[in-house]
Amino acid sequence: MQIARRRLVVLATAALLGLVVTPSSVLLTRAQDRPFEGAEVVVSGPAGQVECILNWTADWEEETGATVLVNPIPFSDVDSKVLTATGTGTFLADVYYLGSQTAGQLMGAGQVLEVPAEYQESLGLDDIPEIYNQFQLSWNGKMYGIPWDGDMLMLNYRSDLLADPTFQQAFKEQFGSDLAAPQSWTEYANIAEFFSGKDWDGDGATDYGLVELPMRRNHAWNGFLSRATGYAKHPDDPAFFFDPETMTPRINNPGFVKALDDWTNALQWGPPDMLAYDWAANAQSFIGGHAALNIQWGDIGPMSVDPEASVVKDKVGFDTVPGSTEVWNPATDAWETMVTPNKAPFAGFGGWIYVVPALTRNADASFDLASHLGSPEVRLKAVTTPGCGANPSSLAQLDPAVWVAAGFSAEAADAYTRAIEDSLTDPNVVFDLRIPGIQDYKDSLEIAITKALSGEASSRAALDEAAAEWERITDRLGRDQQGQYYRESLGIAGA
Amino acid sequence: MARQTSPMLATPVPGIGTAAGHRVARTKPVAGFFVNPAAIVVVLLSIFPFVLSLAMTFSNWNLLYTGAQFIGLDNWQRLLGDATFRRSVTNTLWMTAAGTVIQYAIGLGLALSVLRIRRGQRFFRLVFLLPMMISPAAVGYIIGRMQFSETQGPINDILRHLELGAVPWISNPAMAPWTIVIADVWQWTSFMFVLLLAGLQSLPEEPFEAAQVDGASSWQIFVQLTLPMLMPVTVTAVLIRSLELFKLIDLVRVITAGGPGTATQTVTLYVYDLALNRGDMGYGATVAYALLILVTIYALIYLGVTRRSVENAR
Repeated sequence: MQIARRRLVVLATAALLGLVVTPSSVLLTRAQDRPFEGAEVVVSGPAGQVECILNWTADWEEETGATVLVNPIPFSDVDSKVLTATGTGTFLADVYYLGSQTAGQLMGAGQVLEVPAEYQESLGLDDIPEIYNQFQLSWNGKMYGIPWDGDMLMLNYRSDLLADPTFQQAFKEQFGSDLAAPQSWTEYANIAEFFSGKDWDGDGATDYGLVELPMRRNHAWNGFLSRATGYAKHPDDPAFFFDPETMTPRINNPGFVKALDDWTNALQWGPPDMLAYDWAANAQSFIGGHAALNIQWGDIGPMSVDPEASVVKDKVGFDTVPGSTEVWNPATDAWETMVTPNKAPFAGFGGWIYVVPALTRNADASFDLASHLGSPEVRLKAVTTPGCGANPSSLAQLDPAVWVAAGFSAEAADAYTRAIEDSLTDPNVVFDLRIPGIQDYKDSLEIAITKALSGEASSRAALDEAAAEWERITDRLGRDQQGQYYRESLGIAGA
Repeated sequence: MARQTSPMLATPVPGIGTAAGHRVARTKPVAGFFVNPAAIVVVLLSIFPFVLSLAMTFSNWNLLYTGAQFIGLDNWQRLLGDATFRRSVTNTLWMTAAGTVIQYAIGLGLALSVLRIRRGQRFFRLVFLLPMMISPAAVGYIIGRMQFSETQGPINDILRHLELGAVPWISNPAMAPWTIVIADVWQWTSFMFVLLLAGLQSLPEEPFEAAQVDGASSWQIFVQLTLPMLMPVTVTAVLIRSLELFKLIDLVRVITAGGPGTATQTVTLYVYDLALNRGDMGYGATVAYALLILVTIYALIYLGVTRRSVENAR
């Protein structure tokens, strides 16, 4: 009995120890497996977009033991918040979800960390087009950005209207040409004029020919330059914004002036208050069925098939932004006539990317999270989710099947992916300006653009004023240094 | 050397050199205990930033880059050739003048009307105060963006129904400043109303009764008695509102973002752009200082011009 009792005590003690030790050891092992246990990673970005990442962070949190918090900032304040935090050495977030232009400034100023090699491997960089790898994610040959979004301005149009036989006949009678997706700005203007002021959806409200992005501080830069490239980006010249040798601005050459004149004229076919349309108003106007033509990023595609927001599902066609048969050649200081419209797709804004600021509290956890979000798997999900701010940024995302699965018709999926692929692979593509002082250059040009659009000044006078201001900005920041940065951004050999 | 007595102190002053004076001396540490924290706060939060920002005007400090260099008067020289700054000053002056005058006129009209109401004055005071309690950003959105939306706003809808045609409230450079002023008037007229109503209520009744006995008309009473006697309150109310309007940014930022073009760009918005969007703290501080100088000159001239009227009213 004694032995039995002793054995019982031993067994009970062992069992008790087992009960205590086993979960601890499991937890210990798990904690060792969870490298960032207890860490907190804050991600800052534009409100209404950055929250989207929470769709794909739960697994990462479970796996690493860290917690992800988002810090949404109103879109128009993102840059100023980041700049203020950077300049004053104040912590804002561990990871910035940031436009690549501003991110480029931070890269150039050494305010963000280079992406460690081990994190680069999981990003599927081989599948990312060179223009994004080179212009969006890197600075001076070093990689600082983690991919998320690929930005290319494109043409969205109401395919149902353009295919309507009644409209086709009336259009032919009025303009003498077929009603089809416009390839030149002249064709675009004719279609806009044709559909403007009519109630073509029969809802009792006036509809418009076009809706674009002319608002200062809210993409007037992108709205204008996506049009100006066709007139002012000569295929034989890699530069667009400046003469790369002298850094003399080109923004007041006849190509830009013609583009601004045409845009000012086109405003009459848009909503009367379009000058105050921000990105969201532009998108809502088009997917709300109020405009026949639209210049925007690839966001319109997924938004147009969202049944809760769109009335134009399966009624939207996609194409590259129109071009011009007349193009200004800065080398000869003369106009050249092209057989087919000169198209120069504009990678405006450059895309949202993730960067890890030097002020991060936990660089490893930050890069781990950012590279998880930037992985091909997560990006593929994000790109088809409306409101995530992610447009196709890799070739795998240009498989039409991806978009059919997201709700596109086969025809729309094909057009959508083709328009983006054609833009990305176009040798005449223009990537957005990414040199120090970009906010100064952008603001002064936007002032000029909106002065002309609102009738405050002629296109010529407004752009001359902006060019003079660009000269002053360049001088202030150092002409030689700026020239070096610009040539580097163009990838000109011997820069 | 004999201690000389100041002729000013030839007459004994209570508390100096007396037992009472010793009491004062003993209370000095206590006084310091109460005064010093406030003094430190003022020095840290007001005088130090004031001096620092003045120093910044002579530097090229940019938020993006570490270190700032002394660049002498370069920023001030840049200011002289800055067309956007000049336009911002013009816009600010115009909106300040228009906003203040309209708010004063409507505020005075409302105050005179409410003064005559025997019952319910408190209700109207409260109702008219409500706009002041709303955030300017919300007012900008609700009044400026929604009510004055050219395609979907109710105001243009009413105008269309009246066959008066839609007004380009925000997209027209001539109209947009008025839209800002209207939104500001909507929010801040109540401030004028409250001050002027209090001023009217504090006026003595005798001069008005005497004027009525002498057969003065209502207009004569208003022009020759009410307005002059209300001058001290008027000067204060106009000064406060105009100083606030000189710093206008929130409504503009929300309604027009300074556009179209530079039609509604104010100096404060320009400072915000320069310092916080472009990171150009040195030049941003210079423009801010230029605004301070402008406002100081305005305030000095205004108080100088109105001094006699205020003294006469007393």
